[in-house]
Amino acid sequence: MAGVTRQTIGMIEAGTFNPSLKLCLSICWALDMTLNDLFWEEKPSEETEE
Amino acid sequence: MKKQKSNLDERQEQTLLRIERNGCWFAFWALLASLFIQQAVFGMGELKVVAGEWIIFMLLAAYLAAACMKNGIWDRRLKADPKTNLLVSLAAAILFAAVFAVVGYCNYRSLPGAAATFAVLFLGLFVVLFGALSLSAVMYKKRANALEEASCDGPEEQD
Repeated sequence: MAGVTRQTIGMIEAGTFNPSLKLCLSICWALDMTLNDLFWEEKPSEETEE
Repeated sequence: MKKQKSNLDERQEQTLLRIERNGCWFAFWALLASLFIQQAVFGMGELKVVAGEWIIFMLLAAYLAAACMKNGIWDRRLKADPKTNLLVSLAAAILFAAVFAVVGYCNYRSLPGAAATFAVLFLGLFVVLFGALSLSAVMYKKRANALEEASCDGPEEQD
Protein backbone atom coordinates (compact mmCIF):
# COMPACT_ATOMS: atom_id res chain seq x y z
CA MET A 1 0.00 0.00 0.00
CA ALA A 2 2.82 2.40 0.87
CA GLY A 3 5.23 0.85 -1.67
CA VAL A 4 7.67 -0.55 0.92
CA THR A 5 8.47 -4.01 2.22
CA ARG A 6 7.34 -5.37 5.60
CA GLN A 7 11.01 -5.50 6.59
CA THR A 8 11.28 -1.76 6.05
CA ILE A 9 8.14 -1.07 8.10
CA GLY A 10 9.55 -3.26 10.86
CA MET A 11 12.83 -1.33 10.83
CA ILE A 12 10.96 1.99 11.00
CA GLU A 13 8.97 0.71 14.01
CA ALA A 14 12.18 -0.50 15.67
CA GLY A 15 13.85 2.86 15.07
CA THR A 16 16.69 1.35 13.05
CA PHE A 17 15.74 3.10 9.81
CA ASN A 18 14.75 6.76 9.34
CA PRO A 19 12.25 7.12 6.51
CA SER A 20 12.21 10.16 4.26
CA LEU A 21 9.34 12.64 4.59
CA LYS A 22 7.98 11.31 1.30
CA LEU A 23 7.82 7.78 2.69
CA CYS A 24 6.30 9.02 5.96
CA LEU A 25 3.53 10.70 3.98
CA SER A 26 2.99 7.56 1.84
CA ILE A 27 2.53 5.50 5.01
CA CYS A 28 0.15 8.09 6.48
CA TRP A 29 -1.96 8.16 3.30
CA ALA A 30 -2.05 4.36 3.17
CA LEU A 31 -3.30 4.18 6.78
CA ASP A 32 -5.49 7.28 6.54
CA MET A 33 -3.71 8.88 9.49
CA THR A 34 -1.71 12.05 10.04
CA LEU A 35 2.05 12.52 10.52
CA ASN A 36 1.32 13.55 14.10
CA ASP A 37 -0.56 10.31 14.81
CA LEU A 38 2.17 8.04 13.47
CA PHE A 39 5.49 9.81 13.82
CA TRP A 40 5.27 12.39 16.60
CA GLU A 41 7.68 11.90 19.51
CA GLU A 42 8.11 13.87 22.73
CA LYS A 43 11.31 15.86 23.08
CA PRO A 44 14.17 13.98 24.79
CA SER A 45 14.20 14.39 28.61
CA GLU A 46 17.51 16.36 28.78
CA GLU A 47 15.98 19.18 26.81
CA THR A 48 12.73 19.26 28.86
CA GLU A 49 14.73 19.55 32.14
CA GLU A 50 16.28 22.81 30.92
CA MET B 1 14.32 8.03 -21.82
CA LYS B 2 11.68 7.16 -19.24
CA LYS B 3 13.14 6.06 -15.88
CA GLN B 4 12.20 2.45 -15.05
CA LYS B 5 10.34 1.86 -11.79
CA SER B 6 12.63 0.37 -9.15
CA ASN B 7 11.95 -2.98 -7.49
CA LEU B 8 13.44 -1.63 -4.28
CA ASP B 9 11.96 0.59 -1.59
CA GLU B 10 14.04 3.46 -0.23
CA ARG B 11 15.54 1.44 2.62
CA GLN B 12 16.59 -1.35 0.23
CA GLU B 13 17.95 1.32 -2.13
CA GLN B 14 20.06 2.77 0.70
CA THR B 15 21.31 -0.73 1.54
CA LEU B 16 22.21 -1.39 -2.09
CA LEU B 17 24.00 1.96 -2.29
CA ARG B 18 26.01 0.97 0.80
CA ILE B 19 26.89 -2.41 -0.79
CA GLU B 20 27.95 -0.72 -4.04
CA ARG B 21 30.00 1.84 -2.09
CA ASN B 22 31.85 -0.89 -0.18
CA GLY B 23 32.47 -2.72 -3.49
CA CYS B 24 33.84 0.43 -5.09
CA TRP B 25 36.28 1.04 -2.24
CA PHE B 26 37.32 -2.60 -2.18
CA ALA B 27 38.06 -2.38 -5.93
CA PHE B 28 40.01 0.86 -5.38
CA TRP B 29 42.31 -0.55 -2.67
CA ALA B 30 42.60 -3.97 -4.33
CA LEU B 31 43.70 -2.35 -7.60
CA LEU B 32 46.29 -0.26 -5.73
CA ALA B 33 47.53 -3.33 -3.89
CA SER B 34 47.77 -5.32 -7.13
CA LEU B 35 49.87 -2.54 -8.69
CA PHE B 36 52.37 -2.76 -5.82
CA ILE B 37 52.37 -6.55 -5.71
CA GLN B 38 52.95 -6.89 -9.44
CA GLN B 39 55.73 -4.30 -9.32
CA ALA B 40 57.36 -6.24 -6.49
CA VAL B 41 57.02 -9.59 -8.27
CA PHE B 42 57.93 -8.56 -11.82
CA GLY B 43 60.33 -5.72 -11.06
CA MET B 44 59.85 -1.96 -10.98
CA GLY B 45 60.66 -1.38 -14.63
CA GLU B 46 57.91 -3.64 -15.98
CA LEU B 47 55.17 -1.05 -16.56
CA LYS B 48 53.51 -3.00 -19.40
CA VAL B 49 52.56 -5.68 -16.87
CA VAL B 50 50.51 -3.25 -14.78
CA ALA B 51 49.18 -1.04 -17.59
CA GLY B 52 45.63 -2.42 -17.45
CA GLU B 53 45.23 -2.13 -13.68
CA TRP B 54 46.88 1.29 -13.69
CA ILE B 55 44.47 2.67 -16.32
CA ILE B 56 41.41 1.34 -14.46
CA PHE B 57 42.73 2.64 -11.13
CA MET B 58 43.42 6.11 -12.55
CA LEU B 59 39.98 6.29 -14.21
CA LEU B 60 38.30 5.30 -10.92
CA ALA B 61 40.37 7.81 -8.93
CA ALA B 62 39.69 10.57 -11.47
CA TYR B 63 35.95 9.87 -11.42
CA LEU B 64 35.78 9.93 -7.59
CA ALA B 65 37.78 13.16 -7.41
CA ALA B 66 35.83 14.90 -10.19
CA ALA B 67 32.42 13.85 -8.83
CA CYS B 68 33.27 15.03 -5.31
CA MET B 69 34.62 18.32 -6.66
CA LYS B 70 31.50 18.85 -8.79
CA ASN B 71 29.32 18.43 -5.72
CA GLY B 72 31.46 20.64 -3.47
CA ILE B 73 32.61 17.74 -1.26
CA TRP B 74 36.12 17.47 0.16
CA ASP B 75 36.18 14.74 2.81
CA ARG B 76 34.09 13.41 5.70
CA ARG B 77 36.66 14.29 8.36
CA LEU B 78 39.62 16.19 6.86
CA LYS B 79 39.53 19.92 6.14
CA ALA B 80 40.80 21.53 2.95
CA ASP B 81 43.39 23.68 4.69
CA PRO B 82 47.18 23.97 4.12
CA LYS B 83 48.12 22.30 7.43
CA THR B 84 46.03 19.18 6.70
CA ASN B 85 47.26 19.06 3.10
CA LEU B 86 50.86 19.28 4.34
CA LEU B 87 50.39 16.43 6.83
CA VAL B 88 48.58 14.21 4.31
CA SER B 89 51.23 14.89 1.62
CA LEU B 90 54.04 14.10 4.09
CA ALA B 91 52.39 10.87 5.25
CA ALA B 92 51.59 9.66 1.72
CA ALA B 93 55.05 10.58 0.38
CA ILE B 94 56.80 8.75 3.26
CA LEU B 95 54.57 5.67 2.85
CA PHE B 96 54.90 5.34 -0.92
CA ALA B 97 58.61 6.21 -1.02
CA ALA B 98 59.23 3.60 1.69
CA VAL B 99 57.27 0.94 -0.23
CA PHE B 100 59.17 1.62 -3.46
CA ALA B 101 62.50 1.74 -1.59
CA VAL B 102 61.79 -1.67 -0.03
CA VAL B 103 60.71 -3.10 -3.40
CA GLY B 104 63.87 -1.68 -4.98
CA TYR B 105 66.02 -3.18 -2.22
CA CYS B 106 64.34 -6.60 -2.67
CA ASN B 107 65.02 -6.46 -6.41
CA TYR B 108 68.55 -5.02 -6.47
CA ARG B 109 69.92 -5.70 -2.93
CA SER B 110 71.55 -2.26 -2.70
CA LEU B 111 71.04 -0.25 0.50
CA PRO B 112 72.50 3.05 -0.88
CA GLY B 113 70.28 2.60 -3.93
CA ALA B 114 67.22 2.01 -1.78
CA ALA B 115 68.03 5.08 0.34
CA ALA B 116 68.48 7.20 -2.77
CA THR B 117 65.20 5.86 -4.18
CA PHE B 118 63.46 6.78 -0.92
CA ALA B 119 64.93 10.30 -0.86
CA VAL B 120 64.18 11.11 -4.50
CA LEU B 121 60.69 9.60 -4.42
CA PHE B 122 59.84 11.24 -1.10
CA LEU B 123 60.81 14.71 -2.31
CA GLY B 124 59.15 14.30 -5.69
CA LEU B 125 55.95 12.79 -4.29
CA PHE B 126 55.70 15.36 -1.52
CA VAL B 127 56.00 18.31 -3.93
CA VAL B 128 53.52 16.82 -6.42
CA LEU B 129 51.00 15.74 -3.74
CA PHE B 130 51.11 19.03 -1.84
CA GLY B 131 50.79 20.98 -5.08
CA ALA B 132 47.89 18.86 -6.29
CA LEU B 133 46.08 19.04 -2.91
CA SER B 134 46.58 22.80 -2.68
CA LEU B 135 45.24 23.35 -6.20
CA SER B 136 42.33 20.99 -5.53
CA ALA B 137 41.52 22.81 -2.29
CA VAL B 138 41.31 26.14 -4.15
CA MET B 139 39.03 24.59 -6.79
CA TYR B 140 36.91 22.91 -4.10
CA LYS B 141 36.38 26.17 -2.15
CA LYS B 142 35.40 27.99 -5.34
CA ARG B 143 32.90 25.25 -6.25
CA ALA B 144 31.49 25.03 -2.71
CA ASN B 145 30.92 28.81 -2.66
CA ALA B 146 29.30 28.71 -6.10
CA LEU B 147 26.93 25.94 -4.96
CA GLU B 148 26.06 27.87 -1.78
CA GLU B 149 25.23 30.98 -3.79
CA ALA B 150 23.24 28.98 -6.34
CA SER B 151 21.17 27.38 -3.56
CA CYS B 152 20.00 30.86 -2.55
CA ASP B 153 18.63 31.37 -6.08
CA GLY B 154 16.99 27.97 -6.52
CA PRO B 155 17.43 24.18 -6.28
CA GLU B 156 20.21 22.61 -8.39
CA GLU B 157 20.24 19.03 -9.72
CA GLN B 158 23.30 17.20 -8.44
CA ASP B 159 24.46 13.61 -9.00
